[in-house]
Amino acid sequence: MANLKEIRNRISSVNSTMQITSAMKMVSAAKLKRAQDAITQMRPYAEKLQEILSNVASNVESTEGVYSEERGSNNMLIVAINSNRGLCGGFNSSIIKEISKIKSKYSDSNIKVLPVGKKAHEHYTKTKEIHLDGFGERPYDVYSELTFDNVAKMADEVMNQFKDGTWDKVIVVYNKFKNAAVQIVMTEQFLPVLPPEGAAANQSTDYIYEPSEEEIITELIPRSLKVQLYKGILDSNAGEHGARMTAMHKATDNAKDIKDELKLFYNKARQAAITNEILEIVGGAEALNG
Amino acid sequence: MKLEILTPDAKLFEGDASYLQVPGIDGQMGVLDNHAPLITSLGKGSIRIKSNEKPTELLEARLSDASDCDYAFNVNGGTVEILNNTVVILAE
Repeated sequence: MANLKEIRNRISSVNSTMQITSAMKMVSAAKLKRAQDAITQMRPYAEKLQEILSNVASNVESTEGVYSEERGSNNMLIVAINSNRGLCGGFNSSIIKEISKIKSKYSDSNIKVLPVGKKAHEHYTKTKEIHLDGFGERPYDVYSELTFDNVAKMADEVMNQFKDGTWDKVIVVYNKFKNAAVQIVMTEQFLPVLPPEGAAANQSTDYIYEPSEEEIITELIPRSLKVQLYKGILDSNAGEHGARMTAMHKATDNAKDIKDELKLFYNKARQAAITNEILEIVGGAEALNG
Repeated sequence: MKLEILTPDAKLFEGDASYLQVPGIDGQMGVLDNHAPLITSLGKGSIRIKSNEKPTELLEARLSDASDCDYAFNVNGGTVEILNNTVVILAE
């Protein structure tokens, strides 16, 4: 039988693990709230922009431009958005898994990865597929101050590199935030730009365009690309906290189970020890009387 | 007219305004009530608003000197849509 002190030590260690995981869960819940707020703040802007874009696009013959030039997929850049920290279940690895799937699909292409997130950064540094030229040493620093301007700078650099022909195709892979427990891995084509959805939308309103439709659309497309990347990063950020919250919740539950089991075991052992002692005393008394 | 100013980070303004001046690409542009439907791009400059609404905290942080109007703040660019007496500014 395991000795009592040993079990006691285990119980207290499980207990402190439980405290840590439940504290992490609380922290994630608070951060999740803030990340969700950021998404809600951004949504009206994104929707309006999309609306204007499709409105203008329906009045323009062609939306040809530097960002919509199809050049095949010889040189591909994948923007991998995951998180800076671990302990959030399969959140980070699902992105890396999805990217290996894409890589096997385009096995003839030269594929590089721009990691946004320390976990992807470390992984692709190891596999030597990392691409950092023009993005600074640590693109994941964007998480420490998550504002549109910072993300826009990154999007600008991606667009520049597409324009000068470094890349023929740019894909963004991120976790879309559905709810606190569910994240969906999304793969979106970033460049070349796909024609705006609903281009044939209602043309009922006769807008005055100033300067011209073409000029407005060439200005809107880069903006909507920045918003697309910003949305991906915000989604991923909210998803990360959601995933960590769920993972820590499960960990707390598991720790509780183990603790209950150990307690039961401890009490059984304690009772057995007491019974043994009584037996010894009774046995000793019997021997004296005999 | 109703005025809404949106940025990717937050909603800066929502409410009634009597006059609005925006930095269009080809020069300043004033907007009064019942303007015709219009979509235009903005250049660098300041947006000036005449309105009795209280500014949101976020707008207050960005306000610059407003001498001949109620609020003024600077933008680097953006898009304006005017439709049915409602003005939506997507600012940057």
